[in-house]
Amino acid sequence: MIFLNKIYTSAKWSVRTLAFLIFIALFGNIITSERANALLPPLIPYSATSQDVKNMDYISPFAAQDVPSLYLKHWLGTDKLGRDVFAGIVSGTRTALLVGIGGMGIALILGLLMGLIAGYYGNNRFKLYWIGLILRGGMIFSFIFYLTIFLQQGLNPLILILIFIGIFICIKIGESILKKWNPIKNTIPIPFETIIMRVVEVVQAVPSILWLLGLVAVTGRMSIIGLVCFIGFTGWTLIARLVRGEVIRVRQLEYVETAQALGFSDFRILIKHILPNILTPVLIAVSFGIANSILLEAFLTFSGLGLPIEQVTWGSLLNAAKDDFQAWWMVVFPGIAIFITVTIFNRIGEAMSER
Amino acid sequence: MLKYILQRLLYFVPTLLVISIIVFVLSKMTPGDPVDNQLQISSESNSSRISEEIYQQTAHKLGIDKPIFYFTITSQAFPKNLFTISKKSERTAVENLIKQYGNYDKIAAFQQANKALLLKIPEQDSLNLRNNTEQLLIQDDDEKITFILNDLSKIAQEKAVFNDEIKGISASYENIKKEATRSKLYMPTFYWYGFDNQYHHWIAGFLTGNFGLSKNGQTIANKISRPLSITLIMSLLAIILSYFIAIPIGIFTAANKNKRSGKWLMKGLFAVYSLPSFWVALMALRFLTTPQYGMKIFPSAGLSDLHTEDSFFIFFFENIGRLILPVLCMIIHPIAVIARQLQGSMIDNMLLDYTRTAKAKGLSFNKILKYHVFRNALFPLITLLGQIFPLLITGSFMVEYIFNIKGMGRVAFEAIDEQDWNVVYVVLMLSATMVLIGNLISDLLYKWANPRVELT
Repeated sequence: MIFLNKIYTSAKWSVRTLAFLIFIALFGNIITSERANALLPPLIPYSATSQDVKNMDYISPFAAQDVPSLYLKHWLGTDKLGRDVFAGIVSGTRTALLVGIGGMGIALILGLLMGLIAGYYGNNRFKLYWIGLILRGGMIFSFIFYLTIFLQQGLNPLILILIFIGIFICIKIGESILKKWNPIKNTIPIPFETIIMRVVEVVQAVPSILWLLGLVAVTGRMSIIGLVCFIGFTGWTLIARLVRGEVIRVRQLEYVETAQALGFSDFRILIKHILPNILTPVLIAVSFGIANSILLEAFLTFSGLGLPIEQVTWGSLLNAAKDDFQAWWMVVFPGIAIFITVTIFNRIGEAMSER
Repeated sequence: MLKYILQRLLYFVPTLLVISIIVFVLSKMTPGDPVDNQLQISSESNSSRISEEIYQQTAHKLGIDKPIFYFTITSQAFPKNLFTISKKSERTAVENLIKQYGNYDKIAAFQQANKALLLKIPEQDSLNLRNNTEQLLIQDDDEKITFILNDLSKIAQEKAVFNDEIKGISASYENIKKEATRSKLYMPTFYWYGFDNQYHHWIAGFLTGNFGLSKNGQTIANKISRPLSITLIMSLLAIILSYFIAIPIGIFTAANKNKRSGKWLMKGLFAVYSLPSFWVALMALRFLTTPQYGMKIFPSAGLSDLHTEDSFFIFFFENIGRLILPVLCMIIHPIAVIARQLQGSMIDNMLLDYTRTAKAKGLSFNKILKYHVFRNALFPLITLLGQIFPLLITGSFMVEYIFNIKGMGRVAFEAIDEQDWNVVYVVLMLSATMVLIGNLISDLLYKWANPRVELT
């Protein structure tokens, strides 16, 4: 709470504008709609996809428009098909926030998990018996195997969960039996840090646009969910690196050692003692990451790689402006929308990093 | 030091290998039939029917009649030699049938019966038998197959041709459905294919410098050398320029942090930091390169490549004017990043004890900044280099796309669009190598700037 309070006091306007944007994203369908609803007339009497046949072919906001009243005027102009640009910008808010926040949400979860494991266990702090290693390897393998079957062939989810529980119980029983007569008491360390950092390097080595190009080539078309997953997939590496560094710093502090000496479980130490102390830099990174994801989404959709062009987003509005060099309003206004949103998240990130 | 560099270079190998595997397998999962694409390019007559023999020859020439990787892990329902079905459409049909029923031997019998019938159908095919049978080979939907089978048996009964064969096919299809072994789908198996596989051949060639040919017959080196040099030049120019512009700004804002000029400059930098660089490029392209708005300052987009046989330097000097605006668009974001970072770290350093000592010694403010604070504030700039390198590659892709410059990004876009995989592999591996080298250089510079750092 104190933390949130601090953000609010130092970035008051950003937080307010963010609340406003979220409001727009939630109620965009009511704000821009062709039909009047029962409660109140829509602010913009057009929906993002409705075509105004009388005002087709890029009508400038300052040009004479063929509209009966000021209420029906296209305040920010129209595009080639006569779609209202203002309505497009309002409905694009939802996509932008969804992609930015959703994508970085996935990145945050993945990055925290990987970073905590890599930082806390390092290369030799997590040891397993040979048998345990083999059993757990088998368990992870079969989880992945049945998950791919589930995804590919539409296995009944109930059966999937039953299989998972069955495997888990089998492994647990097997482990407890084998441990008793296991003659090889040697343990081997599992190099979590090396493995995770190698994976991070692989993901980071290829520029994210190239990853996306490959994905688009395989899947054909992007959906919002696909884009969110993609941003999560490329974004987690940065957070994992950051978390690992912070955990290594915190791990040798006295209070962690005390907690270990008291015999707390690793899970408890990680979640209750380490996580709260490393959260601030992570949230800063997430805030900047959201800003970058919104930029990326806009560029991808603009270049025809992201969401389908028919879907009205800020990027597709910019894309529609490519055909006509006169239509400055199709470039300027969506750009301002992107700029404001990105600035908000950057400012919030900055406010968090102020001491 | 040398040991460290060698060790890091050695670490590149597994990373690049893993990337190559991912990219190769991804490229094999793309929709579309590579053999059909190849045949359509090579033959002018766009004949719809390609004989089995030609198809297999082309598949053999392209090297795709082999297993993809050293091993696969699938369920027991899938046979080991699925890759021997050379036609991709047939193979997918079989795969989908296996996913539904899990009994490969019955499905194979069904396909064999189909093919046997296909061979017996005469050239003069007035009853549309051939078309229907070919459809059977590539369908996997129960409804559609049943429909075609009904159609076929009706024809066979009416005209009394191939009655037995078509009955046999129907029976074998019924067999598939009756003796489905779906439980096999839940048993994992492991198949080892040995070294005679597509990936092995590709990577062996790749490592010995044989990158294969582009789709239009050009060698990859030919196709990529000029785009690569354009991207490299643009990125290098951008790195140098952004540091040269950003460092004075950063020092100025740090020195004047309490004055109005410094404060406003910082706010301006923050705004620039949030500016979408591709949007700036779009705006610049619209307002500064076209006569419509009366501000045609820069030449229009794209590079002139009239004289492609010219040496690179002539080409470069011919186009230097056209590169100005793209590079400017590339650097605005890095400038803001670097300047803000430098300002932050300089302000941090100004609060430290050694600055106070220097002040107590009676050094002037400028001298303290120049000789003491600035040197110590440099470290974050060096670490930033590692971050900015991939940023510039991506940024150069954006700018290339918007300004229609045929650099690496543009080549990658087009190659993936045309499924010209040999080009894609090279572009990807080169980008990855550049990023890794950029990281290594930034680590080395870090060590050079701060000898206390221990490299591990």
